[in-house]
Order: sequence, then structure tokens, then C-alpha cells
Amino acid sequence: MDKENYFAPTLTADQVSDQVLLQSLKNPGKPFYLALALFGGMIIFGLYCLFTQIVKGLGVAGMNNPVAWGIYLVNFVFWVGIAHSGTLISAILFLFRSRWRTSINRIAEAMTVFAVIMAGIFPLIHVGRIWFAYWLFPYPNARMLWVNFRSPLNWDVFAVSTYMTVSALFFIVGMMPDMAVLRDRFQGIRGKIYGLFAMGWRGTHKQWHHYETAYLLFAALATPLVISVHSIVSWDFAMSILPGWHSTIFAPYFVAGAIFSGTAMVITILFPLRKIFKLENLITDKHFTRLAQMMLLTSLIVSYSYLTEFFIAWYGNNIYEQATFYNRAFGFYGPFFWLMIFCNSLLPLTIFFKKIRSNPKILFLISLLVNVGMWLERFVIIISSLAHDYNPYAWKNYTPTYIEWGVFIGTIGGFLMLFFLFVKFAPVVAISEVKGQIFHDVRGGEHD
Amino acid sequence: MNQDNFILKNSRLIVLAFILLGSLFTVIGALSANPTRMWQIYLVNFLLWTGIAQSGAVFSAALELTNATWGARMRQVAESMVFFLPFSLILLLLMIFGADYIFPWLSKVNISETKKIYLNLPFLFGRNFIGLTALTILSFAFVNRRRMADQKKNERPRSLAVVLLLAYVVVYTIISYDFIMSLSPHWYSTIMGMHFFTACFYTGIAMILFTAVFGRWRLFPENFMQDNDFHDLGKLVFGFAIFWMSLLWSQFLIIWYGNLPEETEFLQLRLFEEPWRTISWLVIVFGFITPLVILLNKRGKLNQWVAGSVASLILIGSFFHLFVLIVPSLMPHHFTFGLMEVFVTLGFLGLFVLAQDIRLRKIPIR
Repeated sequence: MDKENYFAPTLTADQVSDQVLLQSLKNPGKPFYLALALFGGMIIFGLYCLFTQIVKGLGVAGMNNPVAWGIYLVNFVFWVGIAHSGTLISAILFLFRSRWRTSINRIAEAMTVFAVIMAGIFPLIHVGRIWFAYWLFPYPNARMLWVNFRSPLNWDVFAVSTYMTVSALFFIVGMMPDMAVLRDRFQGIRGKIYGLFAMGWRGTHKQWHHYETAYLLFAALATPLVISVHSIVSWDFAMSILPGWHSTIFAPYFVAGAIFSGTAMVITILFPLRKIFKLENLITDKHFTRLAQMMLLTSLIVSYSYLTEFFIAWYGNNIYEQATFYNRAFGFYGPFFWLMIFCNSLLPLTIFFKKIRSNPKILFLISLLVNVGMWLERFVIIISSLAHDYNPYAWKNYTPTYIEWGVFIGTIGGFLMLFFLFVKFAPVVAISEVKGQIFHDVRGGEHD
Repeated sequence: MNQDNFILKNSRLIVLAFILLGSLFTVIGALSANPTRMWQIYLVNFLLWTGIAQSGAVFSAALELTNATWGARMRQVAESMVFFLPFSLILLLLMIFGADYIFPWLSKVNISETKKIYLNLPFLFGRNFIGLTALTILSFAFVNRRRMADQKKNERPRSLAVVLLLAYVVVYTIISYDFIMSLSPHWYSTIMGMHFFTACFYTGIAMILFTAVFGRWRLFPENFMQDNDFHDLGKLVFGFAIFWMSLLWSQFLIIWYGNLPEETEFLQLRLFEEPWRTISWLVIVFGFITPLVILLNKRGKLNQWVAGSVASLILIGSFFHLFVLIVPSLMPHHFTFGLMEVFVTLGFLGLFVLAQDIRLRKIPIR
């Protein structure tokens, strides 16, 4: 087990509860409400764009004949990807007894749940006629119709909804002891709502015993889900025979990319959050270093996949593959490709230097660029392959319209809004776990 | 404790006999009417044992980088396997004699001029020799410096661990392209490299478990590995069984669904035509289903006999995994498994055990 102390040495138990819990009591001040207003505006703009599309039809989006999958699907993959590191940090690191997860796992889990919600919206918008979205589910219906189980897009329905259910349960169950603390501190309607989430928690020995078992089981169940969900997302592409999509490495490549982008997003969120709530003694620079190392590892796997794809396209001697990859690097979308290489492959290499990985400010900047790079990665894969497939007659480039951007902006607003509300009303750090680690080392340690 | 108690004593003769018989059969096979039969099993064994030996160092480097202290005892077992690596360099060079029988693109199958830039004999052996030499040096350097660091003689070799892991991934990817993928010269799969180095690592940790159970009277003091070691190792093997299968599945599903003739030929032969079909299923049962079912249970991991038996099945599965990747490409319609295959394999096994024995005489586990 990792014996390092990840918290400030002077930290005491009372400090943890007060520091975290008092955030919910305090008036967050004007900037908080201004930010909420801004996110609200973004959501309204997104809804306006979506509504325009519903009224006028999919034609208002920039999708055209070869490029039938526009940035709606780019955004879908982007958000699902971000949803991955939450479970990684909560579940996989828990199973691996990595103690540094303790004070950041709650934030990562919240991020997961909110990002999956945002991701789930896009396929529905993308397929059009959103009011028939329930047709995606196999239910006994009067028309005796059955969903097309051969379609990977339908596999997504099952994969993503399973993932959303398990990660939401994991999130809510994990918060029970902390919610009980909040319930005891508040009266009235707010206390009642906290009580609802505490689910009758009294902190007895028996309850803790069941809780620990449930937590371990959820962790063990969520781990294969992390792999499976993004594998299936990657197969949306890899199952087709389009050059640039049909590639056997896609599943591990996308899983690594998802964890990469998710870790970057955790850093992006953690840095301002720590500053605003002054959580420096709970979320230390060591946490950032560990996150950066994870980012570096996944960045290397992603870069390995980029290289492999290019090499095999050349080695395989298939002219369509070769043309696609040549076009990807030097065609119309070439600049995006090189920007992606810079953000995802070259920039993270600087994390090899200790000076950089122990400086949260620089890591924050890197993580911002990685977010951009990972969005571009999905753009490059999806759009450049579609726009330039087998038949030169059908080639056509694609530019997203303001409607498509608007919906994306709306989901960014929605994600941040949910996150801000979460920070305002719930404990951002898992109090019971941090306390346990400071004093008894009960969690994140031996678990059998 | 007298260190002679836990290294090969009387059984050294058996090991030497294995090596002698193995070399004898190698020479007979190389000079026989059908040298392909010998060279293909030679290649299978070369990849299997080199992969196992290399993953010993890789396992230790991974523990170093993740600050994991739970593997302090089992990493010594892992590191004792590294001594086979110099032998494997010689074994690689010996394959030059069999190149004509191993690589169909040399004479039997036409490949395009562009492919010849990559697939030609001097470049192929050159890059693999340089790569494996570099890995051998890195592995030895890492293992030594790690041991010294434990005795507080130098810093922990973290940078060396990073370099070792990166080199491992690159070199083993190239090996998989050269010695597995290129045997079906028109076939390609992007996951091949990742699948191969994961498989090697998986086999390596199965070997650690196997050695920990069956080698403990000879190789290291009794009760050296404890219950929680076996528990951790069992979990690791269990996890890698699933991961290995998920990569195999990713490759299969995409090729099956895409149904492109240039891709399916490889799977068609191995999954739908006898006898390869039976062997493929055997690999899946031994390498995936058995550890999945048995090691899921805590008792399965803690009972050393059960865990050790699972590990030996995984090792057999890994052998046949490489067998079914390589042999059908070279002799698609002949299946032979006789004395030749058995003795060449035993020869490699003997060499591996001898190398481990030499290392343990020098640096006993404690």
C-alpha cells in the first residue's frame, strides 16, 4: 500500500467537516450567481437552437451527404469520454488501493454523472425526430417492431444507460454518510431533503459493514463498465467498413482517450474549485501530480494508437486506408489534426519533468489544451473519414452551423450549472473517507 | 538457511538433459525434409519464453512506478526470470538459419515493393536484435539498480523504469508485427501489438504465480510468499485474464462484423476450420474461462494448489495461443504435434529454468 500522506500535515478531523460542510451554509456571493446566470443563458441558447432544429428539421445543421455524422456525435463521444475518469478514480483506484483518490473522488464522480447526462442528449438530437426517442428501447409494442440489435448505435443505448445507472448509484450510495452529517446540521425542508439522501443512515457498526460491502461491489461492477462503455462507443465507428474507422485497435484506443480526457477535465475543474473554496490542505499539489501522471500514461497510449494506425495504414498496403490517413494529416482538416497531435501527444510529454507536474497552474493550462485536443481528436476521426471516403464523386467537406455549436454550448452550460449546484448543496469532498484515512486508515486500504 | 536447499540440485541433470534433447531435436528438425515444422515450434517457444522473461522486469518496473509495495516479495520471483534474456538473443540469431521457412514473404508469397522496405531480412533481424538487446540491457540495469536501491545504495530507478516500459511496448509491438503478423503477409490488424504485449505480460504474471506455488521448495525459503501475496497475485491474474480477452474480443468482433475478405482469412482459418478451431477454443477455456470462474472466488485465490493449477493451465493456454497464431499461417492444412514439438518445447523450458537457476545461485531470494 502507498504509505504517503496526501493531506496537509496539520489537518484535523473537525477542520475537515467544517471546511467542507460550511461551504453549503455560506452565501456564495455575487460571482457565484453571475456564473449561474451565465450558464443559464448558455442553456437557454442551447435550447433555442435545439428547438429551431426540431421545428425546422435536421437541415438547419451542417450535416450533408457524405458527412451524415456531424459534431453532435463528436460531442457525444467527448462527453462520454469525460464521464470516464470519475469511475476510474472512484472505482479502479479504490480496487488498486491508491489512497490519493480519497479527497477528489467525490468531485470526479459528480463530474461523471453530469457528463453522462450531457452525453446522452446528443444521440437523441442527432437521430432527429426526438419525440420518437423511446423507439430506441426494446419494449413490447403494438406494431410488433423490434429495435435493430445489429446496430452499434443501439448497443450504445444499453451501454450508456447501464453506465449512467451504475455511476449514479455509486455516487449516491457513496454520499450517504456525508448526507447524514448534513441532515443533522440543517432543519426544515433542506434538512428533510438531505435526510432523503441519507436514507436513514445512523452510522451504526452494522450499517458501516453493509456500506463497505456495497461500495466494494459497486467498484467491482463499475470497473468493467468503464472499459465496456467506451469500447462500444468506439465500435459505433469501427464496425463500419469506412477507412479510418474500421480498425481493431479502436476499443482500447478510445478507452485510453476517454480516461485521458476525463483526467484532464478533473484537473480543469479541481484547480479553480480548490482556489475558490480554499481546500488547499485537502486537495494538495500531490493530488495534481498523481492526476498528471495518469494523464501522461493515457496520453502515451493514445499517441501509440495514432502511430499504430498510420503505420498499419502504410503497411497494410490498402490504398483507401492510405489515402484516408494522408488526407487526415495533409487534407482540408489537416490543421486540426496537427493541433490535436500537439495537444494530445506532444504537450503532455512535458509532464515527464518534475517541475511541471508539481505545478498545478501549468497543469491546469495543459489540461485545458488537452480538453481541446480530445474534442478535436473525435472531430478528426469522425469528420475527416466521412468527408473523404471511397468515392471521389461523393467527397464533401463539412462545417458545423451555429445551431450545432449552440447545442454544444448549451450542454457546457448545463454541465457547469449542475456542477455548481452540486458544489453549493452537497459536500464536495468525501468527509467520512478523508477522516477515515487521517485517523484509522479504514478506507482505501485493505478491503477484505 | 543453506541456499543449496532452494536451488536445483539433483534435478539439474534433468534440466541439462532437456536442453540437450531439445538442441538435438532442433538440429534434426532443421536438417529434416520439412524444416518448417521445427522452425514454427521454435518460433512459438522463442516468443513464449522471451515474453515471460521480459515481463519479469516489466512487472517489477510497473510496481516501481505505481509506488506499489504490496508486491515486494513476488517481484523478486519476477526478477529471477530475467536471466533468460541474454540466451534469447542467441536464440533470435539462430532463427536466421530458418528464415526461409519462417517468413513466407521471402520466397513463397509475393508482396508489394513498398512492403519490402519494411519486410526484408537484414532490416527485420537488425531491428529486432537491436530492440531486444536494448531491452535486455535495460532490464538488467533496472533489476540491479532496484536491488541496490532496496539496500539504500542508490536512488530508486524510476526514470529507468519509464524507459524500460516504453521500450517494452515499442519493441514488443514490432516483434508482433514481424514474427506473427507478417507470417500472413497480406493480413493486418492494428491491435496486434497491444494484444501481444498484453498477452506476454499476462503469461508472465501467470508464471510468477506458477513459480510461487510449485517452486517454493527449491527456489526460495518455505513460507516466503504469504497468503495476502497469493490473494493479490490471484486478483492480478484474474484482471488480466479479462483484459486479455477483451483485446482478443475487440479484434474478433470488428473483423467479424466488417466481414472484409482480406481481414477474415486470418480468423476463418483459426476459428472455423479444424483442428485450429479446437485449439482456439482450448486457448479461450484455459486462458480466460478457467481463471475467470475459479479465481473469482477468494478461496480459489488463497488455495495455493488451486491457484497454481490455474496458472499452469494459463501457461499451457498461452503456449497454444502463440501456436494458433503462428502455425496455421505456415502450415495451414497440416497439423502435427509429436516428439519434435514436445522436445523443442522442453529444450526451451530447460534453458529457462537453467537461466533462473544461475541467477538464483548468484542472488538468492530472501
